[in-house]
Amino acid sequence: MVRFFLRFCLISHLFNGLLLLGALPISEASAQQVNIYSFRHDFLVEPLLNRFEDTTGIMVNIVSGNADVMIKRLAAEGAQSMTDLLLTVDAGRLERAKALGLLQPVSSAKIEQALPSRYRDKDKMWFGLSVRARPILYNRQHVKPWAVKDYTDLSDRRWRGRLCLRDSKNIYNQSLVAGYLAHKGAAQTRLWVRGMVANLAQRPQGNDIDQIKYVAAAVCHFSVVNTYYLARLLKSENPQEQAAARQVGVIWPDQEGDGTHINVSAVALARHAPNREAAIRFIEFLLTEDAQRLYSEQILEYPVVSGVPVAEIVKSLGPFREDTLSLNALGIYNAQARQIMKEEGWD
Amino acid sequence: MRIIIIISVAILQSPPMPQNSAADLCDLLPLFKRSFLTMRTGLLSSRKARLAAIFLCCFLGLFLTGHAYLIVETWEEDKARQALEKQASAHVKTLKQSLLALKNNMVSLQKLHELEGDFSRSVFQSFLDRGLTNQGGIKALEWVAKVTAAERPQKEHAMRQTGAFDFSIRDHAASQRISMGRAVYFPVLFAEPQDQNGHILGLDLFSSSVFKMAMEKALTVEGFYASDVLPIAHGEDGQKSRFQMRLFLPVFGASPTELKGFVSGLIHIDDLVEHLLGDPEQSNRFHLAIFERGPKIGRKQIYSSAWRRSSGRRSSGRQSSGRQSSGRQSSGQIFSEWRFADSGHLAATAALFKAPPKSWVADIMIAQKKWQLMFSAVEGAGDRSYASVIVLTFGMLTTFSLMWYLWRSHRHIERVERLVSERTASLFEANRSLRTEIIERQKAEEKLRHNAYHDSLTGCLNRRAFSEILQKRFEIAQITGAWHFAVLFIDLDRLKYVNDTFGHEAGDQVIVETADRVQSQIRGEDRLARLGGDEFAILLDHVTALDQATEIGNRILKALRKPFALKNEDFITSGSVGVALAHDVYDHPEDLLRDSDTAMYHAKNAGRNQQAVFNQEMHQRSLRVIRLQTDLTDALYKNQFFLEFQPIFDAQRDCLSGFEALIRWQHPTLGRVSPDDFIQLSEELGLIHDIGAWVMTHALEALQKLHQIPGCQGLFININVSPLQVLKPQLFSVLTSTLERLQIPPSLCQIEITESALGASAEEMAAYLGRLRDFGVKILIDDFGTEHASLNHLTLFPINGLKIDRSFITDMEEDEVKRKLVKNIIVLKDILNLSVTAEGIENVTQKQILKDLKCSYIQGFLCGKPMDLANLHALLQASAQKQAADGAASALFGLCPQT
Repeated sequence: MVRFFLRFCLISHLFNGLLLLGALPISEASAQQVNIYSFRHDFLVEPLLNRFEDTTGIMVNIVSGNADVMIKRLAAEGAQSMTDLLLTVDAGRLERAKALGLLQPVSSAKIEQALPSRYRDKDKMWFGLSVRARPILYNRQHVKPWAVKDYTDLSDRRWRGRLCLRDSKNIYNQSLVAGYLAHKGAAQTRLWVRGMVANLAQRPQGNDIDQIKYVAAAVCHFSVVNTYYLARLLKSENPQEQAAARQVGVIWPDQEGDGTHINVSAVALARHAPNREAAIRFIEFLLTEDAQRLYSEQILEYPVVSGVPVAEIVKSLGPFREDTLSLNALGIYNAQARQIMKEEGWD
Repeated sequence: MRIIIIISVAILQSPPMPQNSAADLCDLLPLFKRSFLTMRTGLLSSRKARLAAIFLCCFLGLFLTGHAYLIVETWEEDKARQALEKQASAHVKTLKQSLLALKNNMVSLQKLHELEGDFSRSVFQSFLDRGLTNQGGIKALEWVAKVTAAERPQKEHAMRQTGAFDFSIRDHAASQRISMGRAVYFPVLFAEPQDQNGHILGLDLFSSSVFKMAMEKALTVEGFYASDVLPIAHGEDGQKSRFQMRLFLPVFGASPTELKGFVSGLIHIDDLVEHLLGDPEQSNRFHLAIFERGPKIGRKQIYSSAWRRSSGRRSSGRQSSGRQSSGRQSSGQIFSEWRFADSGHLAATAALFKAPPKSWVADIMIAQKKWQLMFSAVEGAGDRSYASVIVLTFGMLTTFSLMWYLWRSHRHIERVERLVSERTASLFEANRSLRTEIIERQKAEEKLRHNAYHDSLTGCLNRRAFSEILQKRFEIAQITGAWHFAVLFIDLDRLKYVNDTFGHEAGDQVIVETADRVQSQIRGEDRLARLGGDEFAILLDHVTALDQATEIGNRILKALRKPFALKNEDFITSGSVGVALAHDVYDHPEDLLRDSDTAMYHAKNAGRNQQAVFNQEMHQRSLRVIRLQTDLTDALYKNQFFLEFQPIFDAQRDCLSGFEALIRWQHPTLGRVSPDDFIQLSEELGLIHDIGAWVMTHALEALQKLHQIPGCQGLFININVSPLQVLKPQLFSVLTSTLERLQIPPSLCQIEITESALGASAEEMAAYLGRLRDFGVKILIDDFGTEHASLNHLTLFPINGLKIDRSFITDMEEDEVKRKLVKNIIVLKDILNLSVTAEGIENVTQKQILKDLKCSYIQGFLCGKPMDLANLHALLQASAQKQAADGAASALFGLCPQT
């Protein structure tokens, strides 16, 4: 604990020092900046920001916090808002912001050239930055990898008390259910959710990392997690975390059906963005090969730009066929999905 | 349990002493004292004692099993409680440590501020213990600065410059309204970790009454103060925490009154607990409920690990609605609406301020706030060892096995007892019948023994007893030399006649009376025995002289001569007595008996009604008879018989008319044996038929041979036939077949039968003789006048002739009476038209007399002695030749001329 604290202090000092050094000349020179609401806690995006600041001289201000609170704040402030970009780990949330009229479209040849259309909003309101799949995780000791083939299988009676899930507030699961809903319809989705809730080994809790640990510790035998969490644990310096990651295996579900659910971390331009140009440059920057390489190597997600290699550790999870469902659908069905989850007792 | 088994086994396996074994238990169990006392006094049967023992064992077994179960159950519960305590105390310690770490951090920041005079974001950030927020469950560490209205624009600007581009002082409410109109604000300037808490920045905590009160309290105490818990508003947090609270530590400037702000720790209680403890319900098998206690709020539940124990959908709906309404921040409502999802009883017991069963409660203080942590074991969690269940099962099984065994044993003993009693009864019965049987057998044996030694009819000793007595007497004599005893052998005459005439009953009566009479005539020391039939024997002891014996014999004879009174008439008979005196020449007692028997036969032969004393001659004769009996059987087959023929002359013409065939036995050692000696014997032995047939055949063959001599064709032959032969058809068939075979005229064959033959079975005899005469054979009565043939016989039977016995002929020439008798017999010839043959003619005078008396034939030495066939044949041939040559006168045998 103490060692960690000291080490963290050191890193923070260095980081802040760099930030201040970089900010001073830019503010003097152009005073250009980009204000970002980030809904991901991941401080690993910070190297990207630094790279952008270094290359463009545009200062990046980022406020990370609770998405719901901050979107509400964005809506409340309206044109007064200083926010330029919304950075999120889930297209669904941007879809909600889009629905609230908090976004504006971006037309950029660079973006359109770099980004495959399936990873962006059809109205050009948001753009995917990285892809994360949400496969099924299983305990290697207790379950054979062929025991489960589809997401639907998780609702099978056989797995009573053997499933762990995050709570329903989590956007990943909301999107997962929304995707399922888009494919299978409400009735089937309701049955599926009901079955999964009945199979729960414990109250929905923890984050994705916790799910991996639960499965590894055989608290339950199945869960669904985003790939980069597992990859991160596999790469962890903590031997316990590594061991936990090795204890679990990945099942790519729905390979013969709709494909494994994926989502994108995405960026969107706020409707009243005061620094629109800089913001668009930032978006374009994030879709450059360099930035994508960072996504791939540092954040361990799948790059959205073709040609950028997937990290080896991620590649080791195996190839899979991704769900080609329009990511817009995740937002469209988000409300209904949450309603079903709530009604079926997914806490 | 062992005691029960020992007691039970003792009781059941020692049936004779159940009372004692059971009585030992009386002191132990007053409950059963009465019944066992009763048993001890023997009022109850052993069966009842056994049943009581079984019942007692059952009761004790169940009692002990239940007791053991309770003990083990208690022990298990203690163990589980200890485990719970151990786990729970560890968790409480972890929680306390985390809170302590938070406090330390906050104190450090306070001290830093006091030293530096202010915070920069980076400095604040550098002080954050990231472990505290990552693993410690602390949501955020905040710097809540005091900002006056005047300072506000500058402060907001400065904050925006540091990157928080949207920084404004806002109300701590769902609306996030920009705070307005207050003189002093307490916005969150820094909230670490910043990448998760950007939305908190700028929130004026003073706008929240809960936090405001806590901050004021902190100021008052000049130290830590924890706010009341506050529900996390919906939408404020996408995560799962339900309640939040802040821990405030005031920070002052250079002067102690100059408040700079507060260092605050934001705690999301669910996060805190679950980060620190994991999910208690899953990992540790217990519930955790946390209550905040205070004078105002009373007892408010702020955390529960219980989740989804009842029907998921409804409870979750209730939970969510509770959550929504909890936004109203009414503490009373919060408690009432926020309840355990699984059961009412925990909540109810919580309301009663009582820990639920199997729970462990700990209080921790968080800056003046008291939290009560209640750990409750989860029912049905896998920690249970089931020892109590095993004990219960084992106990019940053992008890019921024992019951089963005892019951089986009881049934077995009952069965055995029943069998024993049945067996005893049957043995008793068998014994009784056996005893009766033994008595009967003894009687029978006695009777048999008596019968063995006594004659059943007369009650006298029997032959066997007599033999033994005689043997003993004999042995005494052999030892002492006192040979003065004798044996009398008595035979009753004519008993057969009584049997045949009056029946065997009368015969038996005669025998019984005979025995009585004999018994009356002998002395007390004499022993009478019935040897069989009409034979009796008497052992006469102390007989020194023969006279003594004969005296007794005479008395007996006399007694037997008296008439025997039968049914309707008297029977007169006599006895024959043989006497044998004992003597040292005898080697065996049987010899003495035998000799008396021999003597008796002599007496009988001598004419009955007399006694004879045994002498050696009698013995020799007896021996000879016995020998003849043996040899006679073989004689016929060994060709020891032969025939002699005595000539019979025509008395008037004085010529040879025929012959009488006489059988002769040439015994290899005894020489020639007289027919008188063996004919009667052969009759007794049943050989007379074969011998008679032999005589018949050979005599006729001889006659046929003689007939071949010229002039001899008219010769007849007389053949003696036993009366026994006449009554058999064999005689007739042999005679007729032989005559036919040899072609001899039947008239030349004459059969001689004695007078005695005519006595018995007269009609039958007459019929047989009639058949013979019808065939042409002539029948003569031999030895006429010597026996009891009556003249009536001569008319009854088909008689052709008479043969006058030689006793009438002898001395006839001198005896006038004989001569007259013969004359009168011969007179019958004419009357009855019979032929008369006189035997024993020895001189010419006799011949002449008979010739004068007109006798038909004569026979005797004068006419010719018997001669064998060869001599006869030669003689006849010579006579025939001489007669043919010289005439009849000169011939030795003048053959009668054939008519």
